[in-house]
Amino acid sequence: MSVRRVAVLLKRELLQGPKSFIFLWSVVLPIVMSLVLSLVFGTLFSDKPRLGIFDEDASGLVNLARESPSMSTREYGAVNDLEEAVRIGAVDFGIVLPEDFDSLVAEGQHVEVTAYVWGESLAKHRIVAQVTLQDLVRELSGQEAPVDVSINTLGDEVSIPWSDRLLPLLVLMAVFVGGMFLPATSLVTEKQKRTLEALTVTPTTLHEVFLAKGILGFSISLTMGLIILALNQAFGAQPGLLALMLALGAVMAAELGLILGSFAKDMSSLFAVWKSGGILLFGPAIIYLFPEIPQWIGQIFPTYYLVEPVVRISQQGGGWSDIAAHVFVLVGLDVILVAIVALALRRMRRVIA
Amino acid sequence: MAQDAIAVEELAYLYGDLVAVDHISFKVAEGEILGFLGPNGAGKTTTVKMLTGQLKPKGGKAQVLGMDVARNAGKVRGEIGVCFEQTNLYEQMSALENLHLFARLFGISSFDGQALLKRVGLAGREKDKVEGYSKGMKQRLMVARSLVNRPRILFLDEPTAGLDPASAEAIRAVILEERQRGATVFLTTHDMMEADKLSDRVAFMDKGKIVALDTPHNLKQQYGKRALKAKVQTPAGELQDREVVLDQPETPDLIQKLFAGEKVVTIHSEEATLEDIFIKITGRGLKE
Amino acid sequence: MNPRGIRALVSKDFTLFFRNRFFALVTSLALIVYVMLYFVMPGSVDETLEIGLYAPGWSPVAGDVQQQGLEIHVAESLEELEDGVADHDYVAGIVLAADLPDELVSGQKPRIDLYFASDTPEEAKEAVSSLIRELIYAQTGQPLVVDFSTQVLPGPDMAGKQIPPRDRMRPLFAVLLIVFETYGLATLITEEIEHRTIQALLVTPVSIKDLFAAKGFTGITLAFGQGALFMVLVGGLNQQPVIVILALLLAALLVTGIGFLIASLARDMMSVLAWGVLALVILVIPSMGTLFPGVITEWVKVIPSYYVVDTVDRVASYGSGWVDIWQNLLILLAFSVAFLLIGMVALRRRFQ
Repeated sequence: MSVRRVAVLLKRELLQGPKSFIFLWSVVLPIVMSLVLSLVFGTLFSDKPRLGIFDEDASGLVNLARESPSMSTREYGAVNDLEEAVRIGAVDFGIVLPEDFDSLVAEGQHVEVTAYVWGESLAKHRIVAQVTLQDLVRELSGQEAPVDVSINTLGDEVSIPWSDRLLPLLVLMAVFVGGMFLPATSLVTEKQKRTLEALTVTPTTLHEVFLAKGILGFSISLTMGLIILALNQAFGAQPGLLALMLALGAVMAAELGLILGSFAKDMSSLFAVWKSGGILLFGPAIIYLFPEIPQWIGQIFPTYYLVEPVVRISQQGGGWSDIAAHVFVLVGLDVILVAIVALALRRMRRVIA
Repeated sequence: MAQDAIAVEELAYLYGDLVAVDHISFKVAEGEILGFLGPNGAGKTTTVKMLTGQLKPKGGKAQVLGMDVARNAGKVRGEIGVCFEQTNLYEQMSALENLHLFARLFGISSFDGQALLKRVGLAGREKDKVEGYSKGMKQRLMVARSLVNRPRILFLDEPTAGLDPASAEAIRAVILEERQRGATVFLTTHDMMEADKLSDRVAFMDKGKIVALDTPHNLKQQYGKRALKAKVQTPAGELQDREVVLDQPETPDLIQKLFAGEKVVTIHSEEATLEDIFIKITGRGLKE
Repeated sequence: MNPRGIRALVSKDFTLFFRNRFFALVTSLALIVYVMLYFVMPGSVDETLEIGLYAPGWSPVAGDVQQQGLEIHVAESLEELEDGVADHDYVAGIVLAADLPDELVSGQKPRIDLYFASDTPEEAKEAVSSLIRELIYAQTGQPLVVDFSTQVLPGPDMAGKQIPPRDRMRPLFAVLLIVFETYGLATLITEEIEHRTIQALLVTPVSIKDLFAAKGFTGITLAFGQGALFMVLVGGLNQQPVIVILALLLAALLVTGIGFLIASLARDMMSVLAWGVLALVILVIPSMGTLFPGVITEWVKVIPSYYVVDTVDRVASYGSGWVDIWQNLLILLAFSVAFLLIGMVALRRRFQ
């Protein structure tokens, strides 16, 4: 094994890399998805009822509604717009506040308010929207609540906002898109163009070729993982521990990439794996997104042992004791994958001989 | 009067501003083997592509078996077989499957692939996937594929390039068998010895033009010189070359002088090669 | 057209497709995984707010507040209530003390204890607090001066018969399976160009038209086959099967045209991946509309797959018929034919 030759091969990979679509894809995609998912889709996963208001005057109810944590509120400039929003399901509940609403309510006069309900809105959302509005009207009219409500919490678990539930998906994408596909596509291309043969009739060994490609995958993987955590301000209190987890995940990604590249005959096979293998990689992240899915299913997936510690550290303030078991499993998986990479290497030697 | 298998008149093709084929004209009789020689970039492949309907001529016309290729490409393709320079086989299929596919494409209902593979020396490997074949085997399969429809005209592009002598000889034998069957062969090659051996006539192409077209014998007569080449031993014991040009008035005297004055170790006569002739005509080699 | 030649080419393409066992296995795996995902997802919608109530002497209250979307579970003891909350059997637990009515009558402002699990979102806590306040207002004879006269839009009220999440995913999965075949077809064509077997075919009686017909048939069969099989397995053909099949067929036609286009643009397999990702992302966007209603605005209707997704969703989930979706099918047909023609023209130039 020559470190110098590995460095030469790695340099070639790094110089050629930016010219390749896969390289750009592995850098750009996680960042773009991070921004899009966090900024746009984070709100969509919310379980709050959505209220739309058309206000003919300047009612104080609108601000009260906006401030209410029970629902998300959007104001519309015309009744038609409000109706359309309800019709297409952009809001669950839409109300038209008449002129002088506030003064009428303050005077205790009876006011009729037109309300539209989206046909597919959940019954519980309708109830929540209705009682919340009623509560707000009473507040607007200056009525004092007849009771004091005291809130008691049970248990230790913390509520995780939906924007946080996206983190596992973003981390997995960052770590595995580049970390796995760069070595895989590089290997397949070298096999197809027969440049691998040309390399191995020099002092360069297949070990060195694999190592160079593995280092490339690992580096991209780790870098992107760190960038994504930084973008989402998700380092938590133990950045070192997080970096360790990402490094172990990056090793797994690089190993999977080398195995894939060794066994895939051509790009078609690679595409096929991407087509259906994605679910095996991203399974735990999808399960995090949809709590209705039984969470134990995530433990079947190897990437669970990367994602769960990242979540525990960055979102739940966990430490070594919370993730030790997962780390050992992940290290174990990495070791098993090393053995498979060795098998793949032996097979590759026979194939190109 | 038998029609010409191929009749080309003022045929031309341009790639943008580059004139690849510059208004060439020639004919090939049925049953003839025409060797088409020229360096890389001469326009040979472009000419073949026009004759096989892959490219539409930009000028002139080409007729194959009396049919205008540009207007009757489909019919023409039913009567020709093409063996490409670069392998383009379905490597995930076996040799037999490759041949049967093309037989079906030609509409041949009962086709004996085994017999054809035996002809090209691939018997016993017909069910193996092509990806496991050696270069020579793939090339033989390419030739076999071009014969699936018992074509009236065979276009062969470098059929023996890079092959071991046994494979090359096998393919040459097949070419001669096809000629005996009555097929016309349009043979594009760099191998001047092969062209010399097989072709009834050869055409030299250079920079888009046909610079010579005749039988190898006539070309050698016209452009080549015959000579006696001898090796003589000097008193010092060194071997030196001597040459006496034949067919000259002074030839007998020169030969007498040679044998009288020197110790001749070996002597043989030598004809000009087609490469020598090509260099003489164009000023550059066939392999440039 | 040369039907015999076309048959031979189609047979060859399918042979090669399944000859690569790994490729075929993994492709089948995609279908299996999507079907499994469908069945793993909940088959019903929980639209009820479940609340535990410990109110000795207050059982009429439970009857007062029962309505669609709200379910009150009466606990026999505070411990039972707390356990129910901690085990997430209910969103919240309400304790109404026995002396509460007396305190209200005497004009005092009694305290009501609400119990929540620590991972309950803030909005749920606020909502239940509002609910209990309104309940007490009603009990103390303080009606609201505002009347909300509600009207359900657009028409059918789906409360109690909501579409389960997995059925909302159906159009997305079907479209994904079909759209992925742009890769499959573009790959088949690009491989032939890369390996130069196209040249070999074009010097036989097979014409470019025959080639297109064969590749088109292969592409449509692969795409439609997977989409249709998926819908059969997940019960997506239980309503108006002819319409759904037609929509999937037109979708298959569409992706075939897109596959041709990608093959004409791609230099090699990596380019196929690049263009394919772009096509995939664009074509999947309309499916977001079924998962997140109201998110997608009008502009999405320029994306051809919208008409597949909308048709499949409306028919399979809402029982729409020909009258409701004929326009979708017509537009989809126009898009499909257009892409097919564009793809063929572009690819023809590549072959030539």
